[in-house]
Amino acid sequence: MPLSFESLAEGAELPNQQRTPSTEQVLAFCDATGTRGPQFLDPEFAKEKMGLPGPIIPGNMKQGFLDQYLRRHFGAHAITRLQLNHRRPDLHNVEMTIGGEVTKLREEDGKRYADLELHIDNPQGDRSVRGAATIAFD
Amino acid sequence: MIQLPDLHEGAPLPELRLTPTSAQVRRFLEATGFGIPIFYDDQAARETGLDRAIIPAEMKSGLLISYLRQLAQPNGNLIRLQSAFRRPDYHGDPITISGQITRIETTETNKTIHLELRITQTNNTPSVRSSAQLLLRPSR
Repeated sequence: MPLSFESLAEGAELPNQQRTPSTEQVLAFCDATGTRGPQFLDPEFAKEKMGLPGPIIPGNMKQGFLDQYLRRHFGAHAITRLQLNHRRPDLHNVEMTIGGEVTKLREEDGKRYADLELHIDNPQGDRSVRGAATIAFD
Repeated sequence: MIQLPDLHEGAPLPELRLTPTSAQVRRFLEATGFGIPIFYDDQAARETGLDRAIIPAEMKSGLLISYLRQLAQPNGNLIRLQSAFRRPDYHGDPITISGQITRIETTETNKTIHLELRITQTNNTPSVRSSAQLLLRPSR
């Protein structure tokens, strides 16, 4: 059930969502968007050239997860802004936690808006993505 | 392989023509878990006033990022992308990514290239307008 403007409060946390993107999903994403780069698909490259335990998830795929997270919680209400900073890599087949918080509720020109902070955390609790979004309510 | 043009302000970027198919959209939806019918079901899309199923904005964002990553090769990185999604794009319709260099900032160690980008439909109507920054190392 999508969240309504009336159900939100400044400072309220949004529900957490866990995801574990698989290598198959990363392959499908790269195929669909034309994303190329050995860092996303080649375990040897990730280990030898980047010093990572394995290939990483494209930043724009994580953007897709956050977009989907917003659509899940806010339904058909318009996402008028989604701004992200990608700070750390996330690895294939490792659980990530997506969450957020309501930072401001406001009305402008007769329209109601909710400003949000968003994040993706890795299992160590490190924030791999920090973001902000605005939802416009009808 | 697309490449940056000679670096000067106003230089047009190479055009990239794409025709995202329903199969590609389906792969994107599988990968990201999007379950919204307007992205795969023509009838559901029509019920919301669209002509037929549309391409998710996040997929168009992915296409832009892929284009920008190619431009940034071999020594650069994409450091900012900001997009405004203005019109829907439909499965199977050709789109063109294009743009120009708007500003170049040079420091001792690198160059920051500011770009304006757009996705246009076959009638030349822009569906996405974007701005981006690439950080290039000095070998360029």
